[in-house]
Amino acid sequence: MVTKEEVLKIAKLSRLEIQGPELEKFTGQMNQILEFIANLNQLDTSGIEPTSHAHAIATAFREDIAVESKVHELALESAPEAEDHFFKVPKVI
Amino acid sequence: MPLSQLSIHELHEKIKKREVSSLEATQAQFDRIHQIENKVASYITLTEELALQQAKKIDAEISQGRPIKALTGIPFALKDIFVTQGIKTTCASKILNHYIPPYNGTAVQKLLDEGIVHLGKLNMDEFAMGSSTETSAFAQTKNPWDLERTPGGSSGGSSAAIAADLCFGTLGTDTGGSIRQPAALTSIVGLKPSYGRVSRYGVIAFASSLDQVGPMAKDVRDCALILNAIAGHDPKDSTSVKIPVPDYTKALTGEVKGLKIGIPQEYFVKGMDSEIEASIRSAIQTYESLGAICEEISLPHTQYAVPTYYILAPAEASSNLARYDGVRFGHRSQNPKDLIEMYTQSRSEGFGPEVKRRIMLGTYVLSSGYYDAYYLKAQKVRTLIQRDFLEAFKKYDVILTPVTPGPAFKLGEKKDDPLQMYLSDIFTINVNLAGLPGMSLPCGFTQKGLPIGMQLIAKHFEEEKIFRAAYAYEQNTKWHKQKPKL
Repeated sequence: MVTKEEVLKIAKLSRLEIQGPELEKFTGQMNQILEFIANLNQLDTSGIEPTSHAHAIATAFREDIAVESKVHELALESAPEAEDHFFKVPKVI
Repeated sequence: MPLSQLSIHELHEKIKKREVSSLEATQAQFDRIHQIENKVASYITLTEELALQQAKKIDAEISQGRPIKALTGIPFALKDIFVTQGIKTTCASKILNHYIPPYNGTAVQKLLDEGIVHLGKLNMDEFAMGSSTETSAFAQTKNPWDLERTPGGSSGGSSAAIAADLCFGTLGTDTGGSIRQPAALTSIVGLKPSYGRVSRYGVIAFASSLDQVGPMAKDVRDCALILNAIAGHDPKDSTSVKIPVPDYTKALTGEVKGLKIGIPQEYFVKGMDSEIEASIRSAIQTYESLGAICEEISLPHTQYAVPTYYILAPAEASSNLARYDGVRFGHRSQNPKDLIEMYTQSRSEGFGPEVKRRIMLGTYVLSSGYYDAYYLKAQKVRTLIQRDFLEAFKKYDVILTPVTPGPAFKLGEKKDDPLQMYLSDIFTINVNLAGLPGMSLPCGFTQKGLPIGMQLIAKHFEEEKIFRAAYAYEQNTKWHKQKPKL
């Protein structure tokens, strides 16, 4: 079971703001879902290997050859705010 | 028959014989859209001007000798999860409300290279999180068979558009059933290929170990033609597999004699709709009458798929959606006092409730102290679910199941009950966890006239067996020929 305080902590970790009636609702719904998920505890999984992907995936290597790329300018086109060759954000320090 | 009702392969024959030009087909399609799209609301963005230009260009190229491939000149639409160069791509989220991508994803580029005409972008659940298209920030798509009901989700714009003849072919994506469930609820054909069969480059990520791109179309042959065009290895997606792509239309023989079909007993659950069960049982009889061998089997870990999925998918989503922070693209909150507030406000304003719920669930199961109890546990159960299938495929060619426990539900019915909504995917999620190919195809209607679908599942990269079984059934039934009255 998660408490409202824990939900607030999770929201903060997720960089989301949850307030008022929404907090109440989310806490209830999350508990309902977590209770349902707890069904997995009926199952003995000792000695079972975890699966992270549907099939074995190897790192895809390629030759280390530089190719021309215009990604820089294109990426900046979608930016909410940009200056020169950089994304611009509010003052950090 | 009006042009818009034709299948892709029927329209292709007419384009090939020069009976119809791509421009005529595209204009007919927009006539239909202007006539009934306001009832169905399947599109987020229409690109009419661009589509007419594309069609004219293709017609001109054809007259100068451009080879007419299976999809050349065919009007298509895309789920708004596919990144399209110069065309707004929202993923049905306010956070991407004004996002115009600088590139095309691989599957989209392959279709454009074949010469499709692009009509527009289709509605969906926000970030593909949902089973009814009700979490879209922009529109409520309706089921063409009953406008008070859901077209399914998350690819509900795609299913509705195909069922209502608002495009000839589409691509959807499927993380837990998002191609197959909407296909079943609207009487169209939808295929989730094996994980790794189609590149995910340029597909907005939800849960990367489960997401897969696939065709949604009016019949089995159309799906095979679309898969032919989009399948294959892509250096830009390291999880796409280097296995040769067969011509899937070669599997459309109509012959299933001796094909071994497994029917898992766990898919006929208590509380399941009796009309759906009757339709599936009748489909099994059809297969038997065609010479296939149908036997009951067991997939003992079936009931654990939904809880496993609702650990793994939110965990992956919480990581994937961390990129929406207002820095590089997408919505940025106005006048934040510092960087952290900019992140928090941009995300809180941009994401809808279901997306927030899943990000938080994922953050929770991955957080310090809970990893082993939730995430690792779910990965182990995933192994057991996959083993069930691999064991069954030692003896059987395909597995036949229902797609959904009930027909299309009413809009609003499950909207405020996330758990009930999650349970509408109990028959499709297993296939994603195991990485298998699965198809939904029409197999009947309820007495109220709501579509029913059946699911065919095969071993990894054995899509041909699904096509073989599906085509034989389709050739012996007429469900796919029925059209909704609009």
